[in-house]
Amino acid sequence: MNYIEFRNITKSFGEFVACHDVSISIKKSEVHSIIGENGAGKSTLMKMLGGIEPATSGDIFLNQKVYKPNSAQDAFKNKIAFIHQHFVLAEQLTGLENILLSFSSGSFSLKIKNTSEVLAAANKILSRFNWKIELSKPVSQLSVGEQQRLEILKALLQEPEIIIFDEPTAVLTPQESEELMQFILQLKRENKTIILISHKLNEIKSVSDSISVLRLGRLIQSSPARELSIENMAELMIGRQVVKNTNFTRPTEREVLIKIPNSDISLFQSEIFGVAGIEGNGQSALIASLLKEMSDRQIKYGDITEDRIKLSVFENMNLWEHMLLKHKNEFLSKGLIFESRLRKVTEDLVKNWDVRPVDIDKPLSEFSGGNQQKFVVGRELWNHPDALLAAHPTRGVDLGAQENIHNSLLEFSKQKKTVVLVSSDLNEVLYLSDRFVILNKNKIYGPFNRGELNEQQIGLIMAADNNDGIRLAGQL
Amino acid sequence: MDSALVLILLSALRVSLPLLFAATGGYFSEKSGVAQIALEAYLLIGAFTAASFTYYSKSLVVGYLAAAVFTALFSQIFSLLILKFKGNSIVIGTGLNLLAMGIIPIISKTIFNSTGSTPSIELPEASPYFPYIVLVLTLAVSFWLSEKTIWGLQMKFAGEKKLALQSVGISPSLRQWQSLTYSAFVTGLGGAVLSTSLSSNYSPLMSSGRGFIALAALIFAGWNLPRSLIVCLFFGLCEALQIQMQSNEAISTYIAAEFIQMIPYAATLAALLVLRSKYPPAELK
Amino acid sequence: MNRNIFNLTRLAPWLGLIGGLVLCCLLALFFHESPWHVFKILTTSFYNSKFDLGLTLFYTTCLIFAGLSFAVPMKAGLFHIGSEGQILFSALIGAYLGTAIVPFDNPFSFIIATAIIILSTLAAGAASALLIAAFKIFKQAHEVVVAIMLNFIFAAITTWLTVNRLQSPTSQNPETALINESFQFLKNDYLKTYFENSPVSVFLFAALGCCMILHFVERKTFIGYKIRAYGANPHAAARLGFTQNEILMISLGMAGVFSAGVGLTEVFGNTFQYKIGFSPQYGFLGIAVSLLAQQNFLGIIGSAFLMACLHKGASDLDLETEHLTRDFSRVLQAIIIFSVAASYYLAQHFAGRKRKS
Repeated sequence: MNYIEFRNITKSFGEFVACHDVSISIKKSEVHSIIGENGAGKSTLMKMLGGIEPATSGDIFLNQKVYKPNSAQDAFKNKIAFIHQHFVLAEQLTGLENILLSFSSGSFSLKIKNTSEVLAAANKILSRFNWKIELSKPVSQLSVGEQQRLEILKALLQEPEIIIFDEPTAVLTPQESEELMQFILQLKRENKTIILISHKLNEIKSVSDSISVLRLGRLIQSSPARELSIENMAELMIGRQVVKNTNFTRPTEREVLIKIPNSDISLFQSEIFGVAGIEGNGQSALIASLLKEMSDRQIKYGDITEDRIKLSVFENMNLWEHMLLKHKNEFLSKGLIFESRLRKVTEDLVKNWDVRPVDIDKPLSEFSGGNQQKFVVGRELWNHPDALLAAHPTRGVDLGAQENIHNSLLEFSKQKKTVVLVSSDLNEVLYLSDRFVILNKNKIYGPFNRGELNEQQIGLIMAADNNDGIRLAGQL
Repeated sequence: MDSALVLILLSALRVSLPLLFAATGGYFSEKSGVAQIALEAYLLIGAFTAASFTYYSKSLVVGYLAAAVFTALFSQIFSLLILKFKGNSIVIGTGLNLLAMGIIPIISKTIFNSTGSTPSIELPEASPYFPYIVLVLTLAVSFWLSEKTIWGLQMKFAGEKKLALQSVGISPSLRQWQSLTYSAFVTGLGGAVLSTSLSSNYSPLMSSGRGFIALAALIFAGWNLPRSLIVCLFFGLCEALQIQMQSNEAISTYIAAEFIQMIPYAATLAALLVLRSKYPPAELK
Repeated sequence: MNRNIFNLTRLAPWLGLIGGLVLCCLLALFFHESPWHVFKILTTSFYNSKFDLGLTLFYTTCLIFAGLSFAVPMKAGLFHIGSEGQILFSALIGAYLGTAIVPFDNPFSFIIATAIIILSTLAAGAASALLIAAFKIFKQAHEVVVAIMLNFIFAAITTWLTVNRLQSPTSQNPETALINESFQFLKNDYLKTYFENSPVSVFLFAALGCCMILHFVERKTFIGYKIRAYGANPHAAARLGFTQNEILMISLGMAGVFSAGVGLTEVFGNTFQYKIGFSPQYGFLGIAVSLLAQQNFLGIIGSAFLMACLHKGASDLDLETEHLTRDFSRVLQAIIIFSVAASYYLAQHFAGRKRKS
């Protein structure tokens, strides 16, 4: 019997169709994974179930009954909990206050907060899963893993039957991810229905009962998990085979470009140097000191920033203005801006990097995330710098563009150039780097050569409280 | 204790009254995520309304109530433009201050045929403790609202994380509107203190920057209500010293009145130099 | 389609202005005045005579400078409402130097002395504005609170200096002595003569020139893009190496210079002395001027003239109506600020609906 059923769901935003005639059935007490590239429509589909967006056409059935939520509140009442990828927590308020909010309603009331009851219920759940979260602390003082547990705790307190996890392991260490997967299986044993959205295929393979694959808004396949291998899934997601270019040779004689400040690590020409680690363990300090070192030594560098929206995109400024801001000296003659050249160069760049739409007068902030990133990468490589800082270069970019960006990083490094790749995606670091270091609590461990450590060993170094005995290269 | 010192402390408490009300009002606005620079306008409107109503009704209670209600009504312009028309709160706040400064003389001319001060109020049997009672009540209600009730929690979420509020089906704008209205209500009471208790009529621009000083107190108390009240008391002390110095002949021959009047503003700047503000509400705009 | 939306949002504040004006006139009903009568006074009294037109152009000059003083920091995302204090301070410095410096009787000495006075006045304006920048750089203090406190402090200081140190011995009013006669060279120039000795002076052309230069600098040199980039996203600007200190110093420094422009216009083009209360809060009027033009430097010329006409009209309400006073000018400014602010939203809303249909 089907517990949740999407029947011919279509969702369009203006002319853009996010979901096209999608029908999926989900059974009770199973773990059902939905996979697909960024923009494949998986989040949109779940937002309809979660009551955040209405469907343009088609119906959702819940327990054989038509279910038409008008708000997140409606989903709530139907015992559907949605655990968002970006936490919906007020950082300056305490964990308990964040939980209390979900017990309140929209009608105006001056009721006193039922603090003690809620606290008791929360502690009961915490002890059931053997979790420890200090609920009296402000959320900003909790670790990312604890914040996610708080988010889950918030959901569980409403005693939901269906729990949607949207990319839950994006910010977790391998160990934390593993614990989360165990937790999901425990929920399943308690007869909850779990919907998991992810692109980490090996995780999905390990916990799912069935898997639905979406591509460009259409359902490609929905089948039991045992019928799909990881390679099958990847192929279905992208629509073609993924060719992984893993072996590349490096010249044996390489010159040192610079040293990383406060460490004994030298960066060579012709290499991709990876920096692994969970975000917030010293990445920003490392990036800042590296950028400072490079500008002090007058090394020409490109800078793909770690947070595109916050550090690379200027609202209300168009593409050629962004080009000018980065490469001002190329477009100034006698102090005035050489506009025709600027426009020509920007137009060529947009065409070479397949940024869409081709409109250099459109503000960068109005492009999609993937197109923004393509433009930024292209702009940073435009003047052939000697080094490139690439921080999370493929975040929020679809698989096709991801492949493109990875290839251009590899190409670039072959031209006697240095790439420093900072990424929280361990697979990306392992796939691209010649050497890498691991950051944990502002300490730099390594460098390790390609293939020296496996994923588990790296995960341990990333997460451990104490890394005595591991090669320490520096402190930030 | 030295009687002169006691006198200064008592007068400090007295002149802090409008600041305490305004800071409490400002707290509810800023905590819900709306930057509030119209406190000055609210004080003026409150002061004028209280002076007029008390003059005609001969009752302080009526004057205070009218001040609070009219200021809350006046603040609907602010709420409408910010919450509905998505205006910038600093721009609209500046406009509101101008509006209060401009409209009061015109109304005053229509009612009292004078653009300057309102006629003086004579209430021989009014209790001098009345403003303090109102203050204690206001602070108690405000503290209860913000710390004990679910409404207060939701109000803070409007300033810290709108999305969380929306996800449980509550409109952040609605909570902001309620909070902004309460903010004006309380600040209007501060205006009433200004014209009916600290003086006996309304005189033009009598708030003289107190709304901004209260806002500054709130900012460098780190948006914490009890701490901002302490800072207000400190500013009150500065003002009390100023009054004391002006009435003291020995001092006022050496230091010009203009410099003594500058003390509260200079103290605010000095405080900004010493302290650094932190923890603004995450969605404060 | 795209062009259409663009035009509508461009046009929005001007429609807002008209809406605001209508609202103001309707407001007059509450005070037993005829809206039509008030409207006529507000919109026509600026050209009653050549003198009146000259006065309006004088207001225009001051409002252009005040509008620029708000608009330039606004490009960098700063709310600069400290112009009023800077105007008072710089005007007093100008008036003091004008009385204190006595040039020798030769053209060379005169030119040097004039340059010194003008540059010092501009520097005084810039310095007083840079105080705000200092607070922001060293203490991350909010520019609005600092600016307001400084407005009060400058008002107190200038009043004290005028009354206690620089009071004109021949006058009953709180004002300084007239500046040295050789500096009153704008007293009988052709512009003043044409406009029947009204306050207008060649500073009007200086103000227009400033607008055009700024317009050019904004589009054709890098500094304009730098400031705009900082205003749009300070974090990203810092990553490109544009430091906060640099942007704050440039934008607020320029704002101070333009504030000083108002002071110069008054002291060297109008009264030739510092009078307490000479400014009908040009600093705040400048906000409305700048918002109306959406910080477009050429647009500021138009919006300053419009606001000047309305301001002139409002100050005539005292004489022409029974209940409305010159304070109505503030009400007018407030309502214009409100309707301009609301008009952006309405324009977008309207454009959005059109796109859907």
